[in-house]
Amino acid sequence: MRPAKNEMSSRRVAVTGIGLLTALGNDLNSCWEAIRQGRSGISRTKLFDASGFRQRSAAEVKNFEPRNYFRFTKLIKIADRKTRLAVAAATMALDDAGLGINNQPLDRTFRAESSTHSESLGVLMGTGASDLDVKDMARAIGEDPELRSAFDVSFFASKVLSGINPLWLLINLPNMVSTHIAIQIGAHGPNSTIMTDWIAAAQAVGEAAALIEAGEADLMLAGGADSSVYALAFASCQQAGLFDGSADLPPFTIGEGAAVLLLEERDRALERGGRIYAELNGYSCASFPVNSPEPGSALEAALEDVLQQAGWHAANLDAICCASVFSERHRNAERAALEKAFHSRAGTLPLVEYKSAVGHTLAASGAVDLALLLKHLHAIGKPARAVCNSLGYLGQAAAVAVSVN
Amino acid sequence: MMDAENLQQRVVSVVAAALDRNPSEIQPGHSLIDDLGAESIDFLDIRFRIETEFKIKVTDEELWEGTLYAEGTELISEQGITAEGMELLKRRMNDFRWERFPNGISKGDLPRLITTRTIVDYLKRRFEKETVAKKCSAEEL
Repeated sequence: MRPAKNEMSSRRVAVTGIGLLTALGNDLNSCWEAIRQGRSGISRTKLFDASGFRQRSAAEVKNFEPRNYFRFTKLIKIADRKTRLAVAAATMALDDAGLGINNQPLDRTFRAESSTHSESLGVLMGTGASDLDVKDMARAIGEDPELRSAFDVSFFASKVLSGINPLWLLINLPNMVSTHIAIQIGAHGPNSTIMTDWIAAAQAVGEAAALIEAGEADLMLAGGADSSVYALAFASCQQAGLFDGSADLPPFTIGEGAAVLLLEERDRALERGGRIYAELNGYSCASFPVNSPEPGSALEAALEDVLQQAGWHAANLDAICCASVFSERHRNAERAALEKAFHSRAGTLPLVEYKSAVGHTLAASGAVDLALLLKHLHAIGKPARAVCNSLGYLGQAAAVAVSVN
Repeated sequence: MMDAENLQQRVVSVVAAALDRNPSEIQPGHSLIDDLGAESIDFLDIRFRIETEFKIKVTDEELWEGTLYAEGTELISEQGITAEGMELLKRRMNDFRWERFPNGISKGDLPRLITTRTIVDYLKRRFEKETVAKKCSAEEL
């Protein structure tokens, strides 16, 4: 059995800034206000014509202007939409913490050469697949009207693919989200990317916190970004049966969004007089075989572990943020995991969920949920403890324990 | 045949889009690197945009080495641009800020000489050749 977290490390991790964009709004407070009012961000897709799919709606970010957030605007051309959303969320998280570009010269604060490595700012983001710029590929394939590529791979490689944009790779590399945040903000610390789809953002937050606990960094921008409102993503969801729906659940709805938390070593935050939103008290993830007889067993293991780390009992929780809203299989798996881990009927637990309003923001969802959950805990108006669940398509799971004082 | 002014405008708007500039900021004598902030990936981007805009295929060598294009003149030596080459370039690029190179121009400096005019000149030569070729084949018929 693992020891409780505070016995393992004297370094504690606080959340001191939050940046959020979802279909409900382009900043944390407007998203939260919409949640409070019970509004939904889901509507017919505008980013592309989804009329050929079983699901025609999505939760899209609206009226988003990347120029408001990019310091080096020339780079917008090589930033795909999820990267643009991520840069915006990261910028807002730093501003929210009082450490943004507008608050003090970044060069002085974060430049690696003017501080020790651990003093520097790192970035760890969960991201999803790219749309692979299918339009650009289609344009290149249009140069092959006889479709010789269909049966001649070397022709396809030499004649058709040589026609794609030379910046294609730069735009579509999966690590570009974390890279662009670092470039725009001047973050010279650890920089990495997690691509575990639906649980990626929760893992990014957990792993970033571990870097701070281990003394590898004092500040980490961590979270997730995803923008899967395009034909390839819709086609894969449809083919996987996600759009089939079930009688008593809303149909699976893809959401766009980016959520970035500024994680900060707690003593450092207190010293500089930073506002502390919350403390991260535990993080765990687990992965069980897909054909495991108990599909929620990975989540059950993660929840038990995270409570152990935090030194909490299930009965003391003020909120549990559920990961699964749309798919019956995942919802049932999550319910079963909650009942086993907390030895309670699901109906008696303080459950909250946000996906019915912001859609399933896929690789961003763990951090989107966490950002909104922290607003919920503050709204409770007293010291509060919560657990945030993430459940992957194949049953992989992560859980994060947070508290506010 | 495309008129020169139109060609210049189209090239400037391609470069402006690639470098996130307003077309009115871009002067013919502006170095893409020193005045307009172009980096290595921007040259790939500009070449691709030129290909798309003018519906042509062009290699980097063809497009960017046009700055030193002068038939029958040996412009480059091991040390960099020759005196003869400098004289020719200064005549051709009289609005370029040559004071940036007080100690002459080494081979490594060559990309800094690229301007929108480099692209315009290349395209002019190419389109002229194509027109001549068309004329010739028409006469043959």
